[in-house]
Amino acid sequence: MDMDVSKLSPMGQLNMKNYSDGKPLYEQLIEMTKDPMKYNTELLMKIVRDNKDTEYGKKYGFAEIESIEDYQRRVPITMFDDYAGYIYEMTEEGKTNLITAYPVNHYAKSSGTMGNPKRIPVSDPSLFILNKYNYLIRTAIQCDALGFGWIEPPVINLIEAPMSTLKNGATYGAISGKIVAALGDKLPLFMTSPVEALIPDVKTNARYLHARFALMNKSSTLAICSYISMILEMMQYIEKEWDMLVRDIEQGTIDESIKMPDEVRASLMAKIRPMPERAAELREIFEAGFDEPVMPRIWPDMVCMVGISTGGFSDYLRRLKEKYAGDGYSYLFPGVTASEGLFTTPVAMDDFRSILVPDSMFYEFIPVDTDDPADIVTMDKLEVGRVYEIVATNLSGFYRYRMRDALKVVGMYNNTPMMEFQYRIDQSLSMTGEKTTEVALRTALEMTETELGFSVIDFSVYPDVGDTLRYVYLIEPDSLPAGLTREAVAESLNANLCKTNAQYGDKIVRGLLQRLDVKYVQPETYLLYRDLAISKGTASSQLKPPRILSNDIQKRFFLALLDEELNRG
Amino acid sequence: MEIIESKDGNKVVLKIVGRLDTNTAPELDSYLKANVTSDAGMVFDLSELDYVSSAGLRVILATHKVMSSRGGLTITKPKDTVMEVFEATGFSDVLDIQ
Repeated sequence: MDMDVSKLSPMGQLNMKNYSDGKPLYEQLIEMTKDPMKYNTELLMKIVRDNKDTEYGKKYGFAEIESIEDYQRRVPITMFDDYAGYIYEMTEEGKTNLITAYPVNHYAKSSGTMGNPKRIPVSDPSLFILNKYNYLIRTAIQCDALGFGWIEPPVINLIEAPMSTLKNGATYGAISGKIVAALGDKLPLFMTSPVEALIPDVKTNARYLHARFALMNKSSTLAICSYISMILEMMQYIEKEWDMLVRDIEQGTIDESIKMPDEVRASLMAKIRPMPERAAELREIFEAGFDEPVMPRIWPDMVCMVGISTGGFSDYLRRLKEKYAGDGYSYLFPGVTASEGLFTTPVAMDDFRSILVPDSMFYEFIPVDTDDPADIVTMDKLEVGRVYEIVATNLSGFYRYRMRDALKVVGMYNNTPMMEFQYRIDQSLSMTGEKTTEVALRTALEMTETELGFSVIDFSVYPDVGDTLRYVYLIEPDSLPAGLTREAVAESLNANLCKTNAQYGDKIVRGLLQRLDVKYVQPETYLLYRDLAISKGTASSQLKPPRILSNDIQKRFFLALLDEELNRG
Repeated sequence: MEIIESKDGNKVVLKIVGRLDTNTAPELDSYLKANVTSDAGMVFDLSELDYVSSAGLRVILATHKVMSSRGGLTITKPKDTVMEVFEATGFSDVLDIQ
């Protein structure tokens, strides 16, 4: 590859450096996939050795551990509550060497419902691994697949990085934002969105800023986000508000209806100039309507999007492609990362499957169909086609930690399992042992939408444990054909749920569960849910759709916003 | 929906009459944009507001956010039915309701 790197833009130079650093790391990863258990075992022994003098390490005799069997015999399987006390001492009292000997300068804010989020320690070695796979190796994959034509322009990045500082001086925020925040003052060189949107004040309308600044940059070649739903939402916002956005771009203004603190507005106005030519291009595109995908016309050089699109997000990708993107883009699906660390990484573009990363954490797995810790296995014993819960020993002080996420083994890459996220284990419905997952609920609804010719903005389900046991779907419809009754939707949905979860069907036949019910919620309810969560401090990049309402707070919220008129039908 | 503006000292008081729903929420939003530039706080008098929907709640939340650095937003005299919605949705934890 013959290129004068010094002549590239800052983004181009960063991408080339990431490629140069990432390519050999990618090759090392591929080498590891031939004997992943060797590297995973070495990692465990290193973690045990390095942490033998921590309080936790001494308690469980890490110094005496010489094998996986020793480790499994001595160290218990754990949940978050086993670490809560230690984490309190770390964050409030500044204590170190309790659960990890590695330096911890960041705590991830775990995503949750509307309850109190957890503080998950993220050590410096763990951040190194995240950077290695999320930036260096990913850039290598993208460049090898797409060439180097895409590397120069700023990226449309929707991952926000709101950060606060804890009492012990560590940063606190979504882990996806930590790496974005590390770019600091250089952010505008690499990303279309201004700093005011990437590290937003809670009172700033970041949605407007992301959309506006993305539209301003015709040359963008790449859009990245945590969840692909964020790009869909941006495009929906553009479709609704394009007139105002284009006017602002044309005149170099920020519409008065856009809420933000005065000092933020002043800071942005100092950076904005009128762009009448770009505005004219955009106006012509939007006046032609949204019947055909508009993204290729807005950003003619765009080649790739990056964002989680598996599990509960697959429907958002379908809608994005159908409505706005078309079929011409490549996608990089980021694999499975949690606050606790990085589990899997993609090895190729346009592949939902991702491989377990042997040097990120030590893995054990409990089959979800038995849910019995006695059936725990290591990664070399996984069976293709089976679904497991990950039990992780990470680089940040969690040992044999039950993640409560279910992943399916969908193949092998050399000798390394390829995984696909399925659902959150605590997010499944089981009133009579039927264990209905998010996937089953969502697929049943998609089947019903197709059959009956309507579409849904979003949905949730809760168990009705009144006089009769049944599921209740709460649906915010996008469109409902005239004459389509709620009863017809419930009948169809029930029939389809019987197909997507045979155990649910069995309980219905036997009368242990009653046919489900459907209730419609008011327009903009899911946007309100999102707005409220963000106003309470949840990072937008962490918001997951509340598929199964798992507590009374969520249930009360949605039931207070039922659409009386639609529910009469 | 009707919006009746008055002043209470330096505070702008908006009495919102009728229903604040998908159809009328944009009206309130536009009204706030065009007419209100208060830095001394704002009051929404909801004594004659019969109904608030998700769309209306979004406008209230957005106004609360922007007014938090401009003297605050106070909600006064919501009817029982509207207060129930505020409580059930968690808005009563976020808003200043009197």
